[in-house]
Amino acid sequence: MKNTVRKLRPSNYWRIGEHECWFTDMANKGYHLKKMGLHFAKFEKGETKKTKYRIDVSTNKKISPEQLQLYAESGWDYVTSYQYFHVFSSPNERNALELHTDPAEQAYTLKKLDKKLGLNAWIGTIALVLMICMVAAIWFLDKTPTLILLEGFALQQTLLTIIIGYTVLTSLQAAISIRALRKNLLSGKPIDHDAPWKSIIALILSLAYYFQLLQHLVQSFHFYSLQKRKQKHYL
Amino acid sequence: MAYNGGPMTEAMYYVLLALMHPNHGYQLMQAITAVSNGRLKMGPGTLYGVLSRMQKDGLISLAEDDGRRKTYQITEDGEHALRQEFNRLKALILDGKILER
Repeated sequence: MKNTVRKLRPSNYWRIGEHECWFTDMANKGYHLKKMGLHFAKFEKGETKKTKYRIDVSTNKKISPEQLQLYAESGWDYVTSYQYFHVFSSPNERNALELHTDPAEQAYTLKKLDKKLGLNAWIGTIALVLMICMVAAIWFLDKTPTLILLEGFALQQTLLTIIIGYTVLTSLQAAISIRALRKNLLSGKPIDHDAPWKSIIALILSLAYYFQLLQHLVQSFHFYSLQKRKQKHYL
Repeated sequence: MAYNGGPMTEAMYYVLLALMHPNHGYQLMQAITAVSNGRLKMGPGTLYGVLSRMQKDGLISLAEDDGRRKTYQITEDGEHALRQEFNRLKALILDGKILER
């Protein structure tokens, strides 16, 4: 009988070392990583096994067969991917050579992701500023914010702006973290594969995820009610 | 960053050196260890990164490609760059001779 469990990721997706350590700790408890999604990781219950996990960043979302072959021959099994992050594992007893033996060279693998996240953060920030201006205009242009609050028709736009604001903040965080990691690697500092993932910050982050999920719910509810209202209007 | 003729990383230098004889994947890793007299053990991630970058820069090219296995060879530009780097490193060593007195 196969036994699978889902767990909320304890840290933001761009934190490579923390995830590697988390997967290793789970394997030590007999839970082996099978799949990693946006928020949840799927583990399969099995025998406890000391296993190393490494996350490799690629320039493409798909990993090439040549790369898979080379890694496999070096003792690294492909596990799963999420976006540009690819997870490989190797049992300790195999004593496989590290995937990356040269941090400065590894920095090059982050170049494309770094640029992409940077661009996302910029576009997001510009869009957010425009939205804030627009919403501010609705509230304050005719100098009757109380009336607008009572009438409530600006509420949805305001809520949407807050939600988008949170998303943009996350993308900024991602861009800054990956930039910092790339700089560290370039200066010869390798990734800490045993970065502690159990911390107060991790707890807060997981709460933030629940908050995000809640936001999605609220958001869809608002769109739903908007739709309903329109329908009533037509009737 | 395209290669601009400056100092090479150790990984680049040894991959080029090993590719003086066309080679592929895992065997290439072993060739690098051999050509560095066991001093350099290059991880597969590092090797793959160096290979794809140097191919883009035209320092190496594909000699054979059957989908799964790609055999690489050094190009004329690559060999020129490698010899230049070799001469630079040799000059560095000669300059260091005063340390041996």
